Amino acid sequence: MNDKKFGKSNKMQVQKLPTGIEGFDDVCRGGVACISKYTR
Amino acid sequence: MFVGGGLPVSRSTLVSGTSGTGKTVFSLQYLHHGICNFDEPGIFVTFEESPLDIIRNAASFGWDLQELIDQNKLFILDASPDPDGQDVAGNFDLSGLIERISYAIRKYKAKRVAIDSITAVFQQYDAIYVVRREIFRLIARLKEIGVTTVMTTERVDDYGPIARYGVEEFVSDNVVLLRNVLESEKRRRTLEVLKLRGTVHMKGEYPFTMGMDGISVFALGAMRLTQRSSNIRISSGVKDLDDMCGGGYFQDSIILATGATGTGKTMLVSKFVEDAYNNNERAILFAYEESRAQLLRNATSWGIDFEKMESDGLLKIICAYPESTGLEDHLQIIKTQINQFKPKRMAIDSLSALARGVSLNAFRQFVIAVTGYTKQEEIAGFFTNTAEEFMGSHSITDSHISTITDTILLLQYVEIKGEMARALNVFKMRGSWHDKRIREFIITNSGPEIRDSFSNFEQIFSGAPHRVVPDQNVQNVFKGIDNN
Repeated sequence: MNDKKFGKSNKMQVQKLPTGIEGFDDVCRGGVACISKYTR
Repeated sequence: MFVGGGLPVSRSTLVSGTSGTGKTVFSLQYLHHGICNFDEPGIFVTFEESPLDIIRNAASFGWDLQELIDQNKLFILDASPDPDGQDVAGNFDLSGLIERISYAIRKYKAKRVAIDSITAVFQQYDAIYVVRREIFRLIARLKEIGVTTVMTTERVDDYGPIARYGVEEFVSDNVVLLRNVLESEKRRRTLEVLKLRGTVHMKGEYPFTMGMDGISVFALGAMRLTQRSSNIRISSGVKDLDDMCGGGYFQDSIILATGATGTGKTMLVSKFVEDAYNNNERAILFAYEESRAQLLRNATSWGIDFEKMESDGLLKIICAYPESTGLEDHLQIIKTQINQFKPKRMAIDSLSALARGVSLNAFRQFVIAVTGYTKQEEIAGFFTNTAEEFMGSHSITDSHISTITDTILLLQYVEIKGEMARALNVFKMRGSWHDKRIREFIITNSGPEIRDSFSNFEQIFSGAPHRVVPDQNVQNVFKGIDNN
Protein backbone atom coordinates (compact mmCIF):
# COMPACT_ATOMS: atom_id res chain seq x y z
CA MET A 1 0.00 0.00 0.00
CA ASN A 2 2.79 2.34 0.91
CA ASP A 3 4.48 1.66 -2.39
CA LYS A 4 1.32 2.52 -4.18
CA LYS A 5 0.91 5.68 -2.17
CA PHE A 6 4.30 6.99 -3.19
CA GLY A 7 4.24 5.38 -6.61
CA LYS A 8 4.85 7.16 -9.84
CA SER A 9 1.17 7.63 -10.51
CA ASN A 10 0.84 9.67 -7.35
CA LYS A 11 3.61 12.06 -8.29
CA MET A 12 2.28 15.58 -7.91
CA GLN A 13 2.32 17.68 -11.02
CA VAL A 14 2.38 21.44 -10.89
CA GLN A 15 -0.50 22.94 -12.80
CA LYS A 16 0.36 25.95 -14.86
CA LEU A 17 -1.60 28.91 -16.05
CA PRO A 18 -0.99 30.05 -19.64
CA THR A 19 0.17 33.65 -19.70
CA GLY A 20 -0.58 34.34 -23.35
CA ILE A 21 2.90 35.78 -23.73
CA GLU A 22 4.14 34.29 -26.99
CA GLY A 23 7.04 31.93 -26.36
CA PHE A 24 7.07 32.42 -22.58
CA ASP A 25 4.86 29.44 -21.87
CA ASP A 26 7.22 27.31 -23.97
CA VAL A 27 10.11 28.41 -21.75
CA CYS A 28 8.06 27.51 -18.66
CA ARG A 29 7.06 24.16 -20.15
CA GLY A 30 10.63 23.04 -19.83
CA GLY A 31 10.61 20.36 -22.41
CA VAL A 32 10.21 21.06 -26.03
CA ALA A 33 7.27 22.67 -27.70
CA CYS A 34 5.71 21.07 -30.69
CA ILE A 35 5.66 24.00 -33.04
CA SER A 36 6.49 22.20 -36.23
CA LYS A 37 3.93 21.02 -38.67
CA TYR A 38 4.27 18.10 -41.02
CA THR A 39 4.37 18.51 -44.71
CA ARG A 40 3.54 15.86 -47.23
CA MET B 1 -5.84 25.32 -17.00
CA PHE B 2 -3.38 22.57 -17.84
CA VAL B 3 -0.08 21.07 -16.83
CA GLY B 4 2.23 22.46 -19.43
CA GLY B 5 3.44 25.93 -20.17
CA GLY B 6 2.80 28.96 -18.05
CA LEU B 7 3.05 30.08 -14.46
CA PRO B 8 2.45 27.66 -11.58
CA VAL B 9 -1.12 27.95 -10.32
CA SER B 10 -1.86 29.49 -6.91
CA ARG B 11 1.68 30.71 -6.51
CA SER B 12 3.41 34.04 -6.73
CA THR B 13 5.93 34.81 -9.42
CA LEU B 14 8.41 37.62 -9.10
CA VAL B 15 9.11 39.45 -12.36
CA SER B 16 12.23 41.50 -11.87
CA GLY B 17 14.04 43.87 -14.21
CA THR B 18 15.67 47.24 -14.50
CA SER B 19 13.64 50.26 -15.48
CA GLY B 20 11.96 49.94 -18.90
CA THR B 21 12.35 46.20 -19.33
CA GLY B 22 8.61 45.58 -19.77
CA LYS B 23 7.53 44.41 -16.31
CA THR B 24 4.22 46.26 -16.36
CA VAL B 25 3.46 45.06 -19.90
CA PHE B 26 4.23 41.49 -18.80
CA SER B 27 1.77 41.67 -15.92
CA LEU B 28 -0.93 43.39 -18.01
CA GLN B 29 -0.58 40.86 -20.83
CA TYR B 30 -0.86 38.04 -18.29
CA LEU B 31 -4.12 39.48 -16.92
CA HIS B 32 -5.54 40.43 -20.30
CA HIS B 33 -4.93 36.95 -21.72
CA GLY B 34 -6.60 35.30 -18.72
CA ILE B 35 -9.69 37.46 -19.01
CA CYS B 36 -10.07 37.32 -22.79
CA ASN B 37 -9.07 33.71 -23.44
CA PHE B 38 -10.00 31.83 -20.26
CA ASP B 39 -12.68 34.05 -18.75
CA GLU B 40 -10.59 34.39 -15.61
CA PRO B 41 -11.16 37.79 -13.96
CA GLY B 42 -8.11 39.66 -12.77
CA ILE B 43 -7.04 42.28 -10.25
CA PHE B 44 -4.29 44.76 -11.06
CA VAL B 45 -2.80 46.47 -8.01
CA THR B 46 -0.82 49.53 -8.96
CA PHE B 47 1.64 51.15 -6.61
CA GLU B 48 3.22 53.41 -9.20
CA GLU B 49 1.17 54.57 -12.16
CA SER B 50 -2.36 55.88 -11.95
CA PRO B 51 -5.16 53.64 -13.33
CA LEU B 52 -5.71 56.14 -16.16
CA ASP B 53 -2.07 55.88 -17.26
CA ILE B 54 -2.27 52.09 -17.15
CA ILE B 55 -5.41 52.04 -19.30
CA ARG B 56 -3.78 54.40 -21.80
CA ASN B 57 -0.56 52.38 -21.98
CA ALA B 58 -2.48 49.13 -22.45
CA ALA B 59 -4.46 50.70 -25.29
CA SER B 60 -1.21 51.04 -27.28
CA PHE B 61 -1.15 47.23 -27.45
CA GLY B 62 -4.80 47.07 -28.43
CA TRP B 63 -5.95 45.95 -24.99
CA ASP B 64 -9.15 47.75 -24.03
CA LEU B 65 -8.94 47.60 -20.25
CA GLN B 66 -11.80 50.05 -19.76
CA GLU B 67 -14.15 47.65 -21.50
CA LEU B 68 -12.97 44.82 -19.23
CA ILE B 69 -13.46 47.05 -16.20
CA ASP B 70 -16.99 47.88 -17.34
CA GLN B 71 -17.70 44.16 -17.72
CA ASN B 72 -16.49 43.55 -14.13
CA LYS B 73 -13.75 41.29 -15.48
CA LEU B 74 -10.91 43.54 -14.38
CA PHE B 75 -10.41 45.72 -11.35
CA ILE B 76 -7.54 48.16 -11.00
CA LEU B 77 -6.80 48.74 -7.34
CA ASP B 78 -5.18 52.12 -7.04
CA ALA B 79 -2.46 52.12 -4.39
CA SER B 80 -0.33 54.71 -6.17
CA PRO B 81 1.14 57.44 -3.98
CA ASP B 82 -0.81 60.58 -3.30
CA PRO B 83 0.70 63.38 -5.45
CA ASP B 84 0.41 65.69 -2.42
CA GLY B 85 2.51 63.34 -0.31
CA GLN B 86 1.54 61.44 2.79
CA ASP B 87 2.66 61.53 6.40
CA VAL B 88 3.38 58.34 8.26
CA ALA B 89 3.42 58.60 12.01
CA GLY B 90 3.83 55.79 14.50
CA ASN B 91 3.38 52.11 13.67
CA PHE B 92 1.80 51.24 10.38
CA ASP B 93 0.96 48.16 8.42
CA LEU B 94 -0.62 47.16 5.12
CA SER B 95 -3.59 45.43 6.73
CA GLY B 96 -6.02 47.80 5.09
CA LEU B 97 -4.54 47.21 1.66
CA ILE B 98 -4.40 43.45 2.14
CA GLU B 99 -8.08 43.48 3.06
CA ARG B 100 -8.94 45.61 0.02
CA ILE B 101 -7.12 43.20 -2.28
CA SER B 102 -8.75 40.17 -0.62
CA TYR B 103 -12.17 41.79 -0.92
CA ALA B 104 -11.61 42.61 -4.59
CA ILE B 105 -10.54 39.02 -5.33
CA ARG B 106 -13.71 37.69 -3.70
CA LYS B 107 -15.96 40.25 -5.33
CA TYR B 108 -14.67 39.74 -8.87
CA LYS B 109 -13.96 36.01 -8.39
CA ALA B 110 -10.44 36.73 -9.60
CA LYS B 111 -8.04 33.97 -10.55
CA ARG B 112 -5.17 36.17 -11.56
CA VAL B 113 -3.57 39.03 -9.66
CA ALA B 114 -0.80 41.39 -10.74
CA ILE B 115 1.01 43.71 -8.34
CA ASP B 116 3.06 46.48 -9.93
CA SER B 117 5.45 47.07 -8.33
CA ILE B 118 6.37 46.08 -4.82
CA THR B 119 9.55 48.15 -5.05
CA ALA B 120 7.33 51.21 -5.04
CA VAL B 121 5.92 50.19 -1.64
CA PHE B 122 9.40 50.31 -0.17
CA GLN B 123 9.98 53.69 -1.71
CA GLN B 124 6.83 55.08 -0.11
CA TYR B 125 7.82 54.14 3.42
CA ASP B 126 11.04 54.49 5.39
CA ALA B 127 10.64 51.49 7.67
CA ILE B 128 11.92 48.85 5.26
CA TYR B 129 11.73 45.98 7.73
CA VAL B 130 8.05 46.74 8.35
CA VAL B 131 7.30 46.83 4.61
CA ARG B 132 9.05 43.50 4.13
CA ARG B 133 6.99 41.95 6.86
CA GLU B 134 3.78 43.34 5.42
CA ILE B 135 4.55 42.17 1.89
CA PHE B 136 5.26 38.74 3.28
CA ARG B 137 1.81 38.82 4.88
CA LEU B 138 0.25 39.92 1.58
CA ILE B 139 1.87 37.08 -0.35
CA ALA B 140 0.85 34.55 2.26
CA ARG B 141 -2.73 35.77 2.04
CA LEU B 142 -2.78 35.56 -1.77
CA LYS B 143 -1.45 32.02 -1.61
CA GLU B 144 -4.10 31.14 0.95
CA ILE B 145 -6.84 32.47 -1.33
CA GLY B 146 -5.40 30.45 -4.21
CA VAL B 147 -4.86 33.13 -6.82
CA THR B 148 -1.93 33.07 -9.21
CA THR B 149 0.05 36.24 -8.73
CA VAL B 150 2.61 38.15 -10.75
CA MET B 151 4.58 40.70 -8.77
CA THR B 152 6.96 43.06 -10.43
CA THR B 153 10.02 44.46 -8.77
CA GLU B 154 12.85 46.64 -9.89
CA ARG B 155 16.51 45.82 -9.86
CA VAL B 156 19.43 48.17 -10.30
CA ASP B 157 21.71 46.12 -12.53
CA ASP B 158 20.75 43.69 -15.30
CA TYR B 159 23.24 41.18 -13.96
CA GLY B 160 23.30 42.24 -10.31
CA PRO B 161 21.17 41.20 -7.33
CA ILE B 162 17.74 39.84 -8.27
CA ALA B 163 15.81 42.68 -6.69
CA ARG B 164 16.15 45.68 -4.47
CA TYR B 165 15.35 45.47 -0.75
CA GLY B 166 15.82 41.67 -0.73
CA VAL B 167 12.34 41.10 -2.13
CA GLU B 168 13.31 37.75 -3.62
CA GLU B 169 13.45 36.36 -0.08
CA PHE B 170 9.64 36.53 0.12
CA VAL B 171 8.78 35.42 -3.39
CA SER B 172 11.22 32.58 -3.80
CA ASP B 173 8.90 30.14 -5.58
CA ASN B 174 9.23 31.55 -9.06
CA VAL B 175 11.51 34.22 -10.44
CA VAL B 176 11.49 35.65 -13.96
CA LEU B 177 14.15 38.14 -14.98
CA LEU B 178 13.69 40.69 -17.76
CA ARG B 179 16.77 42.39 -19.15
CA ASN B 180 17.38 45.25 -21.53
CA VAL B 181 21.12 45.08 -22.08
CA LEU B 182 23.20 47.55 -24.05
CA GLU B 183 25.14 45.60 -26.71
CA SER B 184 27.22 47.41 -29.30
CA GLU B 185 25.24 50.64 -28.77
CA LYS B 186 21.93 48.77 -29.12
CA ARG B 187 19.48 47.55 -26.53
CA ARG B 188 18.67 43.88 -26.53
CA ARG B 189 15.81 42.49 -24.48
CA THR B 190 16.09 39.04 -22.94
CA LEU B 191 13.95 36.99 -20.57
CA GLU B 192 15.19 34.35 -18.16
CA VAL B 193 13.16 32.01 -15.99
CA LEU B 194 15.52 31.79 -13.05
CA LYS B 195 13.39 29.60 -10.88
CA LEU B 196 10.09 27.75 -11.20
CA ARG B 197 9.78 25.71 -8.03
CA GLY B 198 8.56 22.15 -8.34
CA THR B 199 8.56 22.07 -12.11
CA VAL B 200 10.95 22.00 -15.01
CA HIS B 201 11.65 24.97 -17.21
CA MET B 202 14.12 26.03 -19.85
CA LYS B 203 17.34 27.57 -18.59
CA GLY B 204 19.12 30.62 -19.85
CA GLU B 205 18.26 33.89 -21.53
CA TYR B 206 15.84 34.13 -24.44
CA PRO B 207 15.46 37.24 -26.59
CA PHE B 208 12.12 38.96 -26.64
CA THR B 209 10.49 41.95 -28.27
CA MET B 210 7.71 44.29 -27.34
CA GLY B 211 5.65 44.72 -30.45
CA MET B 212 2.14 45.78 -31.32
CA ASP B 213 0.68 42.74 -29.57
CA GLY B 214 2.79 42.89 -26.43
CA ILE B 215 5.71 40.70 -25.45
CA SER B 216 6.93 37.93 -27.76
CA VAL B 217 9.63 35.60 -26.47
CA PHE B 218 11.79 33.73 -28.97
CA ALA B 219 12.06 30.41 -27.19
CA LEU B 220 14.78 29.01 -29.44
CA GLY B 221 15.34 25.93 -27.30
CA ALA B 222 11.65 25.10 -27.61
CA MET B 223 11.95 24.60 -31.33
CA ARG B 224 11.97 20.95 -32.20
CA LEU B 225 13.43 19.48 -35.32
CA THR B 226 10.36 17.49 -36.16
CA GLN B 227 9.46 18.78 -39.58
CA ARG B 228 9.44 16.15 -42.30
CA SER B 229 11.23 17.30 -45.40
CA SER B 230 9.24 17.54 -48.55
CA ASN B 231 10.39 15.74 -51.69
CA ILE B 232 8.66 18.26 -53.90
CA ARG B 233 11.06 20.40 -55.91
CA ILE B 234 10.69 24.03 -56.83
CA SER B 235 12.59 25.84 -59.52
CA SER B 236 15.34 28.32 -58.80
CA GLY B 237 14.19 30.27 -61.84
CA VAL B 238 17.39 29.26 -63.66
CA LYS B 239 17.05 26.05 -65.66
CA ASP B 240 20.75 25.10 -65.57
CA LEU B 241 20.91 25.73 -61.83
CA ASP B 242 17.91 23.44 -61.33
CA ASP B 243 19.82 20.75 -63.21
CA MET B 244 22.87 21.34 -61.02
CA CYS B 245 20.68 20.84 -57.94
CA GLY B 246 19.24 17.58 -59.22
CA GLY B 247 15.93 19.09 -60.30
CA GLY B 248 15.57 22.27 -58.24
CA TYR B 249 15.51 23.20 -54.58
CA PHE B 250 13.35 21.27 -52.15
CA GLN B 251 10.06 22.99 -51.45
CA ASP B 252 10.60 23.75 -47.75
CA SER B 253 14.36 24.07 -47.70
CA ILE B 254 16.72 26.87 -46.78
CA ILE B 255 19.06 27.98 -49.54
CA LEU B 256 22.13 30.09 -48.92
CA ALA B 257 23.96 31.90 -51.71
CA THR B 258 27.31 33.10 -50.52
CA GLY B 259 29.83 35.23 -52.36
CA ALA B 260 31.51 38.61 -52.55
CA THR B 261 29.59 41.68 -53.56
CA GLY B 262 28.65 41.69 -57.24
CA THR B 263 28.92 37.95 -57.77
CA GLY B 264 25.23 37.60 -58.62
CA LYS B 265 23.51 36.79 -55.35
CA THR B 266 20.74 39.36 -55.76
CA MET B 267 20.14 38.11 -59.29
CA LEU B 268 19.59 34.59 -57.98
CA VAL B 269 17.22 36.04 -55.38
CA SER B 270 15.35 37.89 -58.14
CA LYS B 271 15.03 34.76 -60.27
CA PHE B 272 13.85 32.81 -57.23
CA VAL B 273 11.16 35.41 -56.57
CA GLU B 274 10.23 35.65 -60.26
CA ASP B 275 9.69 31.90 -60.46
CA ALA B 276 7.17 32.13 -57.61
CA TYR B 277 5.30 34.77 -59.62
CA ASN B 278 5.36 32.60 -62.75
CA ASN B 279 3.75 29.83 -60.70
CA ASN B 280 1.14 32.22 -59.31
CA GLU B 281 2.64 31.96 -55.83
CA ARG B 282 3.37 34.70 -53.36
CA ALA B 283 6.90 35.67 -52.43
CA ILE B 284 8.29 38.15 -49.93
CA LEU B 285 11.68 39.81 -50.15
CA PHE B 286 13.44 41.42 -47.17
CA ALA B 287 16.24 43.64 -48.45
CA TYR B 288 18.82 45.02 -46.04
CA GLU B 289 21.44 46.30 -48.46
CA GLU B 290 19.58 48.02 -51.29
CA SER B 291 16.66 50.39 -51.45
CA ARG B 292 13.43 49.45 -53.15
CA ALA B 293 14.25 51.70 -56.13
CA GLN B 294 17.64 50.04 -56.57
CA LEU B 295 16.10 46.58 -56.44
CA LEU B 296 13.47 47.52 -59.04
CA ARG B 297 16.08 49.04 -61.35
CA ASN B 298 18.42 46.07 -61.08
CA ALA B 299 15.63 43.57 -61.61
CA THR B 300 14.43 45.48 -64.66
CA SER B 301 17.93 45.26 -66.14
CA TRP B 302 17.60 41.46 -65.93
CA GLY B 303 14.15 41.52 -67.49
CA ILE B 304 12.27 41.06 -64.22
CA ASP B 305 9.36 43.39 -63.44
CA PHE B 306 9.06 43.60 -59.65
CA GLU B 307 6.50 46.42 -59.86
CA LYS B 308 4.08 44.28 -61.84
CA MET B 309 4.54 41.42 -59.39
CA GLU B 310 3.73 43.79 -56.55
CA SER B 311 0.70 45.27 -58.28
CA ASP B 312 -0.55 41.73 -58.96
CA GLY B 313 -0.32 41.06 -55.23
CA LEU B 314 2.21 38.27 -55.56
CA LEU B 315 5.30 40.08 -54.30
CA LYS B 316 6.02 42.14 -51.23
CA ILE B 317 9.32 43.95 -50.81
CA ILE B 318 10.40 45.17 -47.37
CA CYS B 319 13.53 47.33 -47.34
CA ALA B 320 15.22 48.46 -44.14
CA TYR B 321 18.62 49.38 -42.85
CA PRO B 322 19.91 46.64 -40.56
CA GLU B 323 20.73 49.36 -38.03
CA SER B 324 17.17 50.71 -38.03
CA THR B 325 16.19 48.42 -35.17
CA GLY B 326 17.40 45.47 -33.11
CA LEU B 327 17.72 41.94 -34.46
CA GLU B 328 14.77 40.69 -32.43
CA ASP B 329 12.59 43.45 -33.84
CA HIS B 330 13.72 42.53 -37.35
CA LEU B 331 12.72 38.96 -36.58
CA GLN B 332 9.37 40.08 -35.28
CA ILE B 333 8.80 42.13 -38.44
CA ILE B 334 9.71 39.13 -40.62
CA LYS B 335 7.33 36.89 -38.69
CA THR B 336 4.50 39.42 -38.79
CA GLN B 337 4.91 40.10 -42.52
CA ILE B 338 5.02 36.39 -43.34
CA ASN B 339 2.01 35.78 -41.14
CA GLN B 340 0.03 38.51 -42.91
CA PHE B 341 1.18 37.95 -46.52
CA LYS B 342 1.37 34.15 -46.34
CA PRO B 343 4.02 33.66 -49.03
CA LYS B 344 5.26 30.34 -50.37
CA ARG B 345 8.77 31.71 -50.73
CA MET B 346 10.80 34.25 -48.80
CA ALA B 347 14.19 35.79 -49.40
CA ILE B 348 16.57 37.78 -47.23
CA ASP B 349 19.18 39.83 -49.08
CA SER B 350 21.47 39.83 -47.31
CA LEU B 351 21.47 37.89 -44.09
CA SER B 352 25.04 38.93 -43.34
CA ALA B 353 24.07 42.62 -43.39
CA LEU B 354 22.05 41.96 -40.26
CA ALA B 355 25.21 40.75 -38.51
CA ARG B 356 26.61 44.27 -38.54
CA GLY B 357 27.12 45.63 -35.05
CA VAL B 358 25.60 42.71 -33.16
CA SER B 359 27.23 39.99 -31.14
CA LEU B 360 27.92 36.66 -32.80
CA ASN B 361 25.65 34.92 -30.32
CA ALA B 362 22.76 37.30 -30.99
CA PHE B 363 23.17 36.82 -34.74
CA ARG B 364 23.37 33.05 -34.38
CA GLN B 365 20.14 33.07 -32.37
CA PHE B 366 18.50 35.24 -35.03
CA VAL B 367 19.55 32.89 -37.83
CA ILE B 368 18.26 29.85 -35.95
CA ALA B 369 14.99 31.60 -35.18
CA VAL B 370 14.38 32.83 -38.71
CA THR B 371 15.26 29.49 -40.32
CA GLY B 372 13.19 27.65 -37.72
CA TYR B 373 10.20 29.87 -38.40
CA THR B 374 10.59 29.51 -42.16
CA LYS B 375 10.61 25.73 -41.88
CA GLN B 376 7.70 25.80 -39.47
CA GLU B 377 5.66 27.76 -41.99
CA GLU B 378 6.76 25.40 -44.80
CA ILE B 379 8.24 28.21 -46.82
CA ALA B 380 11.24 28.00 -49.11
CA GLY B 381 13.81 30.45 -47.78
CA PHE B 382 16.57 31.96 -49.90
CA PHE B 383 19.24 33.83 -47.95
CA THR B 384 22.34 35.55 -49.18
CA ASN B 385 25.64 35.98 -47.39
CA THR B 386 28.11 38.61 -48.52
CA ALA B 387 31.64 37.26 -48.19
CA GLU B 388 34.34 39.72 -47.26
CA GLU B 389 37.01 38.32 -49.59
CA PHE B 390 36.62 39.09 -53.29
CA MET B 391 38.82 36.19 -54.31
CA GLY B 392 40.28 33.09 -52.76
CA SER B 393 38.71 30.84 -50.20
CA HIS B 394 36.34 32.36 -47.71
CA SER B 395 34.64 30.94 -44.68
CA ILE B 396 30.99 30.06 -44.85
CA THR B 397 30.92 28.54 -41.43
CA ASP B 398 30.73 31.80 -39.50
CA SER B 399 27.71 32.19 -37.26
CA HIS B 400 26.68 28.60 -38.00
CA ILE B 401 24.74 29.76 -41.06
CA SER B 402 26.11 26.97 -43.22
CA THR B 403 25.11 24.17 -40.87
CA ILE B 404 21.44 25.07 -40.74
CA THR B 405 20.99 25.60 -44.45
CA ASP B 406 19.97 22.76 -46.77
CA THR B 407 21.55 24.10 -49.93
CA ILE B 408 24.67 26.21 -50.33
CA LEU B 409 25.54 27.99 -53.55
CA LEU B 410 29.10 29.29 -53.71
CA LEU B 411 29.72 32.29 -55.93
CA GLN B 412 33.25 33.45 -56.56
CA TYR B 413 35.34 35.77 -58.71
CA VAL B 414 37.95 34.01 -60.80
CA GLU B 415 40.78 35.63 -62.71
CA ILE B 416 41.36 34.10 -66.14
CA LYS B 417 43.48 35.65 -68.88
CA GLY B 418 43.40 39.06 -67.23
CA GLU B 419 39.62 39.08 -66.90
CA MET B 420 37.33 38.61 -63.95
CA ALA B 421 34.85 35.82 -64.40
CA ARG B 422 32.27 34.50 -61.96
CA ALA B 423 32.19 30.91 -60.79
CA LEU B 424 29.23 29.02 -59.36
CA ASN B 425 29.23 25.77 -57.45
CA VAL B 426 26.49 23.85 -55.66
CA PHE B 427 28.56 23.26 -52.55
CA LYS B 428 25.92 21.43 -50.57
CA MET B 429 22.52 19.97 -51.37
CA ARG B 430 21.03 18.01 -48.50
CA GLY B 431 19.28 14.81 -49.46
CA SER B 432 19.95 15.02 -53.17
CA TRP B 433 22.46 14.39 -55.88
CA HIS B 434 23.97 17.60 -57.14
CA ASP B 435 26.46 18.73 -59.71
CA LYS B 436 29.94 18.96 -58.15
CA ARG B 437 31.43 20.95 -60.99
CA ILE B 438 32.47 24.56 -60.78
CA ARG B 439 30.66 26.34 -63.59
CA GLU B 440 31.01 29.78 -65.07
CA PHE B 441 28.21 32.11 -64.07
CA ILE B 442 27.54 34.87 -66.58
CA ILE B 443 25.13 37.75 -66.01
CA THR B 444 23.45 38.94 -69.19
CA ASN B 445 20.64 41.37 -69.95
CA SER B 446 18.20 38.50 -70.13
CA GLY B 447 19.36 36.88 -66.91
CA PRO B 448 22.01 34.42 -65.85
CA GLU B 449 23.79 31.85 -67.98
CA ILE B 450 25.73 28.88 -66.68
CA ARG B 451 28.53 27.46 -68.80
CA ASP B 452 31.24 24.80 -68.62
CA SER B 453 34.13 27.18 -69.23
CA PHE B 454 36.20 25.88 -66.31
CA SER B 455 36.29 22.21 -67.23
CA ASN B 456 40.02 22.41 -68.09
CA PHE B 457 40.98 24.39 -65.03
CA GLU B 458 41.77 23.52 -61.46
CA GLN B 459 42.16 25.50 -58.24
CA ILE B 460 39.42 27.80 -59.48
CA PHE B 461 38.26 28.82 -56.02
CA SER B 462 41.76 29.92 -55.12
CA GLY B 463 40.94 32.85 -57.37
CA ALA B 464 43.90 32.15 -59.66
CA PRO B 465 43.17 28.91 -61.53
CA HIS B 466 45.53 27.26 -63.95
CA ARG B 467 44.89 25.06 -66.94
CA VAL B 468 45.08 21.32 -66.43
CA VAL B 469 47.79 19.74 -68.60
CA PRO B 470 46.71 16.22 -69.64
CA ASP B 471 49.07 13.51 -68.41
CA GLN B 472 50.70 11.99 -71.59
CA ASN B 473 51.31 8.60 -69.94
CA VAL B 474 47.67 8.22 -69.01
CA GLN B 475 46.63 9.20 -72.54
CA ASN B 476 48.97 6.54 -73.97
CA VAL B 477 47.37 3.91 -71.74
CA PHE B 478 43.93 4.78 -73.12
CA LYS B 479 45.30 4.73 -76.67
CA GLY B 480 46.70 1.22 -75.99
CA ILE B 481 43.31 0.02 -74.78
CA ASP B 482 41.62 1.46 -77.87
CA ASN B 483 44.15 -0.20 -80.20
CA ASN B 484 43.56 -3.60 -78.61
